[in-house]
Amino acid sequence: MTLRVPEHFSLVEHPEETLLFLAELSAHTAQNRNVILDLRGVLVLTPDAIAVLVARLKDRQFTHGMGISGNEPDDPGLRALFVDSGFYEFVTRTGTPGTSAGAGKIKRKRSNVVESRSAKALKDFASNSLSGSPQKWFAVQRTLVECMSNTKAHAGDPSVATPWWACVYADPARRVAQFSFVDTGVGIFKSVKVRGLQGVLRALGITDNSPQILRRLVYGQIESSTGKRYRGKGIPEMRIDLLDRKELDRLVIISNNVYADVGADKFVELQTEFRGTFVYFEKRPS
Amino acid sequence: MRTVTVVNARDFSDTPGPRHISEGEFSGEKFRKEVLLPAFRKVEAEDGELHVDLDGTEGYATSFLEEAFGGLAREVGSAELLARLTIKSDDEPYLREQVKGYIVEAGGRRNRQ
Repeated sequence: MTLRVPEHFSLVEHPEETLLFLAELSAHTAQNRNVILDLRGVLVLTPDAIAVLVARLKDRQFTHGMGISGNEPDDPGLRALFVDSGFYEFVTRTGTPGTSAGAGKIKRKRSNVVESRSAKALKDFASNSLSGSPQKWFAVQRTLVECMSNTKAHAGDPSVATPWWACVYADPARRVAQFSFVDTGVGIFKSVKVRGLQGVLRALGITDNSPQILRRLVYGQIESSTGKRYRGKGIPEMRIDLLDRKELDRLVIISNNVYADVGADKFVELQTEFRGTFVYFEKRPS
Repeated sequence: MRTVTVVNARDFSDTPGPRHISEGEFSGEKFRKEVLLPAFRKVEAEDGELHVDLDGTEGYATSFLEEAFGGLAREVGSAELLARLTIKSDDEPYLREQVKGYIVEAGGRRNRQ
């Protein structure tokens, strides 16, 4: 069967539309259907959506072993982005192959342990692409390592390795590096640690919904709310790097049914759930 | 005048990693066990000072620093550690206070036996 990819294919900018598409794709493969992705009508495309789609296509829980092929966007610029992303390494291409415009560069990495050297490789790739030489981007390095660490902390079963994918797209036209990190774990709100935390909050009479709890996590207010020791300093540090130190230029977190655009102080509930955790951040060279 | 033992974190790794050894390479736990704790025991025996230079790496995750320095404080006591430790961090100056915070916080939880 053929499934149309949404016109606005962007998890960061159009999360509901994009998550609904991913849910539909998974529903089809669950019913043992091979799927052809119709990309021709895509009008808006961001690298984070490609990163998440590639991560999902390598996840057998998502594909159920079914074949997935796809064509290309009609828009030449978007077509080049798909080619540069390496997307067609994972999806059988139908139709005429496009060519890279060299407008951007993507590097991907998949693993299930914390790899600080891989974080450096991604950071160096992006900074070198935009600045001509590798730069010290402390917040980028820190955020990537924190994300990898959180994959383990928020995995459903700590004894089972949970893969993560990290991807960076260095866009020389906009002079920005766009980092996407996705894991295939259970997500923040289904992790044992945060489920326990929700129980503690309820016992204290705090009936926050998931967006409000994520905001507490981002602002490091969990310990002060509960009086309990909580080691989760990584996510608050990302907010500090964004808002206080200005070392990051944008930060979006999606986990389970929550979308957070931290710089805009926007924490909202999603209609369609995201399995796992997704972190997107931008860095512009100084 | 007290002797000063210098630890350069970049000699351990230019890409410090996660909290625990089980999570990946260059962990805070490994840095504490193999570098910081032996150095601290040495300065303790000499009644000296421990100077840790954090510069020259690609950056630190909070969990690495908390495990390394907070973990050391849980082992040797926060007051004892603070009395002998100096931190250099010109690359990321805010790390000096951050590390001290981890030491104080850790010592508040479990003091030296």
